[in-house]
Amino acid sequence: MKTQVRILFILAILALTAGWLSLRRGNAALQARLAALPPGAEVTR
Amino acid sequence: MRPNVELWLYLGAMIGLSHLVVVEGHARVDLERRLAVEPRELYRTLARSKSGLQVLDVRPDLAAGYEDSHIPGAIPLPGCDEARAPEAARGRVLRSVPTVVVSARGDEPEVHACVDRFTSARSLAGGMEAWSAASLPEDSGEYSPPSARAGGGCL
Repeated sequence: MKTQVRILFILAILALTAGWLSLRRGNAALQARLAALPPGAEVTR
Repeated sequence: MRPNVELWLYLGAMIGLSHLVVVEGHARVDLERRLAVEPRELYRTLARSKSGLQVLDVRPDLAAGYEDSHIPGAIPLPGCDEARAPEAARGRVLRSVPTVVVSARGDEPEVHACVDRFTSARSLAGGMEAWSAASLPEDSGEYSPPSARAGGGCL
């Protein structure tokens, strides 16, 4: 495999990992906010 | 390492990570639906020139609600029904755009039904009452679509 192709794959994997971790962090923060809401304040359907 | 094995390893890692991103993305949308946006948080988002956010005012009475006062840039959609929207606002509501639904108080059952119609939507906590109480900018009058020549954000 060419070095340039290998570098592209590695960069894509790093970008996906960063995106996934960022989403996970954001979701954890949202979950903490939801947990901190007083009972009944959560939007329910 | 053999080139074919290496290629499949990279592809496998990318597919696995893409799957994780999609799963977390769905979880994000679900969490955001359950958490109403606070007026000041919405104001900060709208103040950014390229927020890419659609604000829908779903208060049922157009004259006493939207035309009396509304969030700058909001699109009137009385009762979340496009058939009741003013002519100029029809066709401007997009289902796939991140959306904030504004009602009078923010806790009406029809607001939640409206939120469910969009791919990614939240309600405004406390509705227009909370926006006004926070002394945030308001507009009044009939809806006029943004001009193509206008620049910057809607605030």
